[in-house]
Amino acid sequence: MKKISVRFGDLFKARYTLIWVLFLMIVMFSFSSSAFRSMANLLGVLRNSGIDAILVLGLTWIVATGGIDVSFPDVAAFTSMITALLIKDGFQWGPTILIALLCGTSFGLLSGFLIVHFKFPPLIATIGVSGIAKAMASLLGSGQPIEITRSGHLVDSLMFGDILGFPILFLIAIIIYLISCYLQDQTAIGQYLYALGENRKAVLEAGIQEGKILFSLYTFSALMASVGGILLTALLSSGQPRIGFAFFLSGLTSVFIGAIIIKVGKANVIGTLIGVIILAVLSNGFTLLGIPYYIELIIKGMLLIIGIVIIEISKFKRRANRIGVM
Amino acid sequence: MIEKLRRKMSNETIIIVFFLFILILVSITFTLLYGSFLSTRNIKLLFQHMSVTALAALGLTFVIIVGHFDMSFHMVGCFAGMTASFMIGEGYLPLPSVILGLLVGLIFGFVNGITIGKFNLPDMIITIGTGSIALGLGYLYSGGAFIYDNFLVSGILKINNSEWFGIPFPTILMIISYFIAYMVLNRSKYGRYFYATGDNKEIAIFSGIRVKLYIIVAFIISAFLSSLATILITSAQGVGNVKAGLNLLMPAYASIYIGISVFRKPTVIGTLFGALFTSIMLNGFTLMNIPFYFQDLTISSTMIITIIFSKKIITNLTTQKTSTVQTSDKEVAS
Repeated sequence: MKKISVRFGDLFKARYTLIWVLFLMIVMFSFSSSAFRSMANLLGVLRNSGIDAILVLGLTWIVATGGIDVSFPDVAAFTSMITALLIKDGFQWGPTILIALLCGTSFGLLSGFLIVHFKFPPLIATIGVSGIAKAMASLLGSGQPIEITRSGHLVDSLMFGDILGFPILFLIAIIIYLISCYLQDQTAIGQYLYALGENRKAVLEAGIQEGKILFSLYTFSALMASVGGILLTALLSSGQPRIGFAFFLSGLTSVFIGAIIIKVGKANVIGTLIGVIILAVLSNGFTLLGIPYYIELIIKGMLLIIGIVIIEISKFKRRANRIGVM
Repeated sequence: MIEKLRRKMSNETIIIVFFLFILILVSITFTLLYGSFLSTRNIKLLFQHMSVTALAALGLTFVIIVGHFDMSFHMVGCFAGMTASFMIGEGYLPLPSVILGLLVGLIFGFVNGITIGKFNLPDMIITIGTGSIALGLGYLYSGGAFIYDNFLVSGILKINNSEWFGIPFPTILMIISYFIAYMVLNRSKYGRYFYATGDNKEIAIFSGIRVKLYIIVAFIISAFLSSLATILITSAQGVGNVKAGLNLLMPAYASIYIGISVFRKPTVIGTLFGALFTSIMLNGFTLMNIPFYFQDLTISSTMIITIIFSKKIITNLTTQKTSTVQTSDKEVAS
């Protein structure tokens, strides 16, 4: 029988380490910076982390299957450019979003096709696709960002409005994450994901169509990246062709940090959400304390390494215990 | 006739001839489109540019051979390049600056190798972690600003500009490194050990191969050569730029995987061909005055198309004979 109740001692297990790190970070930043603990700032952090969270949702599941997708930031850059271009040309938001989603998702179709049909290693296929997406994004504005002058009342209220005090953007992300959490933990698809990550041969033997799952995963990742790109355009009122690299490191870091939380060593949606929030709090706190961007890079890298070391040690201990019992 | 040829030549020769044929075809096309493609000046430029990518790709080839991925080499290169630039800016001579830069790269390679090889930590996560640490450290020297001091007088520019027997120095470096790598990987027992480590780790361990050592060495070579490549870029640009090495990621992987698609396993010659091919495409399109942002498009589409085509064509060309070679392809693809 699986015990569902959470015991007090469980909270100090390795898998919850980073939640304590997040907690400590919030406490420390609140003490050292009065600007950090203001309500407006904290809500701003949540708003930004909403977009980041949507961007990396697809990546989370891809990492869970043992693959990787490095094309998501460039797909987001591309959709942000095409959205800005269409809005600037006088399109309404409805058709614009539809076109942008279709174009963005086509990149996922391409990488899925390369991986499933031509047996490309995921890293290589997505590096290739990200190159294409990056070039197309620059092409749309001839290498320059595109500004949007009119964004409309509805969009503004969606971006900056709040329900019950929470930013709408964050609530959208939460809803998407709850749905995907249900998909991941309660349905067969979720089981297949982790099975693919654990033992690919067994999955094939069980008659599960690996190709279909991978194909839809890479498409889904591009779709989520596109949604994130559109939201970014609306939030920044401009399309940015070169946002890729900033999201590349932080996106991958948040997913890998998330893999340390809750499901030990496996990427999962709740972990990713917490990972995204940790990085958002970190970068916001550092910015307010006047600590430069590159220190943040170092801290992020260290968090990743320390986290993975903790996980490996806890796995090792558990294995040692099991062997001791037997 | 094809049957006759096939019987005479080994698989590898067929592939090399076929690939050279395509290279010549592409070169002729570019020459027809743009007359100065085959001029001495342009060919020198092409090789100078290619040697940077090729060096970074060569280091990465070792990591791919032992069955791992390195997502940190370009960022480690940034740190090494900045270290060298900072030393130059402080008034040191080029040689100690470059050596210190390479040493810094070595340290990161060693850390990667130890954590991944000895402690079996996941390669992707660790290298992204160490990579972002390296990039952050690279920013520390100047806060992200360019370093111009002493660049013109110190003589570091000579690394890129000097020529031996009419061949640019970076190209000589590339040729020497490729020769050494070829000798090690294809003509010595150590090469067998590298490949064995990547093909099947457990069998390699039971055969008495020091798997951990080879993984560590592979990561060190990767970090070292990418540091060298970034220092070459720094010397070519004449300025210490943190982001100098960041563009190495895609061309390096593209070169290696073009090579893998052709030779069915990561090889030195394959990587060299891949680097040559991407460089020719890039150079040709640059001559045609396409804007800078088409670089990524050129490299990635070249890579994707080459891999797809070589999967189709080369399998057809060599199907009769390949039985042992193709198994290693599955290992790489998975």
